[in-house]
Amino acid sequence: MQLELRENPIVLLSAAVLLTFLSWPSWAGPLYLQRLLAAQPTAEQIAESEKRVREHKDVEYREKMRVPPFHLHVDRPIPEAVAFCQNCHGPLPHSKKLRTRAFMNMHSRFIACETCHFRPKDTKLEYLWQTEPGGPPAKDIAGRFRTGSEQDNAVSFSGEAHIAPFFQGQAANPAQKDPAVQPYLERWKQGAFEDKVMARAQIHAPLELKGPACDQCHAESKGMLDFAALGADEKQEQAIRTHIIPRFFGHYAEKDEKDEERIRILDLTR
Amino acid sequence: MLAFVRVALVISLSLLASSTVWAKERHSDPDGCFSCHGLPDLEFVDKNGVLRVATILQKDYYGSLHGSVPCKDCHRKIEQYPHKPEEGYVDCSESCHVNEPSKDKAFTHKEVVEEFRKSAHGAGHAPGATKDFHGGNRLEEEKDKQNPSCRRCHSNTPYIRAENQEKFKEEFHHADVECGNCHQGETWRNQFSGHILRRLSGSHFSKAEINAMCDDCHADAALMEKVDREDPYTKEKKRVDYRWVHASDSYDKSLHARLLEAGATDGASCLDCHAIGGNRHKIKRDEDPAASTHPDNLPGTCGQAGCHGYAKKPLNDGFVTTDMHNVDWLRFDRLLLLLREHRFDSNWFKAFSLLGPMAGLFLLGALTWMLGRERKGTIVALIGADRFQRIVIGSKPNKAGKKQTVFSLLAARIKAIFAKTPPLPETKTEPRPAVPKTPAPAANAEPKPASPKPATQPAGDAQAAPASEADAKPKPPTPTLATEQPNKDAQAAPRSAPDAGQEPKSSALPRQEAQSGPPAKDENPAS
Repeated sequence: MQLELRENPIVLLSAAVLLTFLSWPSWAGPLYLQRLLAAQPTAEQIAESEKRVREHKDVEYREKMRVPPFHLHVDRPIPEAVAFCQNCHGPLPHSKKLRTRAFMNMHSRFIACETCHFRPKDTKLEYLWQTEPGGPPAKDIAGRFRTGSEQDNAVSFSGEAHIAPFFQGQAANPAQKDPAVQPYLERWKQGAFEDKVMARAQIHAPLELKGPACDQCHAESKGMLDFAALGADEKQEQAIRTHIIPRFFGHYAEKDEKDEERIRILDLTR
Repeated sequence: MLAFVRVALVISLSLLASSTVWAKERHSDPDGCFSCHGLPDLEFVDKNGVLRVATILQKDYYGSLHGSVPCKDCHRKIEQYPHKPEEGYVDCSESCHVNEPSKDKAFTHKEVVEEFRKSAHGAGHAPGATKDFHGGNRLEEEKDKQNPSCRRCHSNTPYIRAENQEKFKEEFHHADVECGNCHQGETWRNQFSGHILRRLSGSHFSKAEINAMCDDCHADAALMEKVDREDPYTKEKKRVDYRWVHASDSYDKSLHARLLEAGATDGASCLDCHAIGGNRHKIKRDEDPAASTHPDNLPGTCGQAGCHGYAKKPLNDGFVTTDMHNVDWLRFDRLLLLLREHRFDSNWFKAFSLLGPMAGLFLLGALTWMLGRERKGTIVALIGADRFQRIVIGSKPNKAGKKQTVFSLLAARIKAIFAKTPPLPETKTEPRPAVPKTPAPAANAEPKPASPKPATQPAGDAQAAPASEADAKPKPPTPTLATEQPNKDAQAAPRSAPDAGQEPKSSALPRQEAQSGPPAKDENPAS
């Protein structure tokens, strides 16, 4: 009977199909890349992309301002880009929204861009620590969280590990220099205007411009991230869920797209 | 006894309660500013490409001079989030919630601000959007503001420098450098921390550090050139002069600076002369009679304690007349800037303006001479030759011939240098039949058994021949030489042209002339 099974071509074919199905994620690449390669931007997305390309201005980084800061801060250079998105958006990608840019850049020290901006509605992703963009889940997850007012704020987040999305055990985010994304980057850097517009539209088609609201993670109830599974102890999880700043930001009207609304700082202590 | 215990208990409990209050006062943060600004890595890159950092280091702040001052004592206009830039401006002349111990009144920098406002640095100081005296916007100030704000020189540094904090902990048996964590008493805070400690730590800047602070602006010549200075009397604004722009450079060349550079502390820093007595906010322009650097006050400034005490003696006025910012000390590469403006500030330029053209004339003469150097002994008169020829020689100058001679010689010489071929200016001088047209190579073909020069010379000789009118000076030619070097003599014939009207002194000459036709007596190639 065993011999018959081995020699039966139907059985062998079925086994091959099964193996292919099981190993699909390992050779199909990160989920974001799959969506990128299959992206067919809509007319609306292309129009938005064209507008953005027209408005785009390269910002030249300057080392320091001539007048030194009155209150001391850590004097360090701008960090290096490590993620795919940072190839274009730079290591401190949030710069426009007055209200959130500094806070979001702080989060980008320990949260991958795709965690917030790549949220496919048809798939459920898993969020784990990752030490290298596009790499496997980090094995050592102890001590990744630091919370509490007693923390020395002169010590930066290390930036060594990020909470990144995983799909079926494989990273959903690509490596910074993934060969599959290089043609898109080349088109953006050196292509003609139309090519830039299309490359930008394709890259951003699987993404969402706006990340999740603060209370998607900083909430009493269970949100996007499973802090316990990520290595936070009970006290740390409680501190994250009840942090004062997300509650303060909760005073903003929900749909303030213009970023013009201002709220009283007095509300911070309420 | 029981009553005593009760009283003691009440007092103890009161002290305990009040100490808790003091602790909160020290680290109170009543407005919750550190809820955000206490977070690490709050950064963004603004539209100007500048990295902006919103994180304020708590340990440094609480160990600093302003560690006792709540944020809103200075940033009074910040009430909403996001903050507008102008809301963050600080008016340093406002009073704060810390008491000044000697007067027991709210502490204020108002007096210092008033001093500063009247100083050389404070004139017209109001960068930004408000009328108040404030720290100024760092970006605006960077661009085009002339007067420094408070924070160009002042920052909220800790009492104990970062490099000394570990040593402080070890030497003074302290576990912390945030003073208020332990020293929670109001008396300590107001009288020692806010008064005595400030003055102790205020003197910890070395002379080199003070100079570096001044150099931060004054060593930037490009920045200083943009400054307009207001005349204290006429209130007229004038561009600064070269001496002022390069005041830092010229100071660096002085003995004062070089002593400090060498590590000796005897040298004088900027403030030692410009802000004697520690009046750093009262620095005045030299022209101001109240300035320590005003000529009338220099004996006192130079002769201050620890410096040149004998400078006050009338016989030692050399100390007070020595220019400590002498632009003549500057390197010449800096002085090239003098060509743009302020040129007469420098004796270097005055000397150069006189000697430069003369040097140029000499260079031109030397160049001319070099180009015509093959005309040994010839005097090519550029001017006056006509007169000489007319009066002394008695012949008429040939204008065309003269021009041709002077400039054609030069042109032929230049042509010969580049082409490395014998110039033949004579080919153009048709009226001069004395010029033989024998090609130079033919000279090589001639046998020269008795030639005193090597065989390679004839070409050179041929090249030199047209220019060597010096040979026009009558020489007793050797007949042997003339017959043995017919070509050379033939080339030399034009030199004899001026002498053509004279008696021929060579037996060979008529033979050559016969070959070339009669000499033109009126021609004078040397003219």
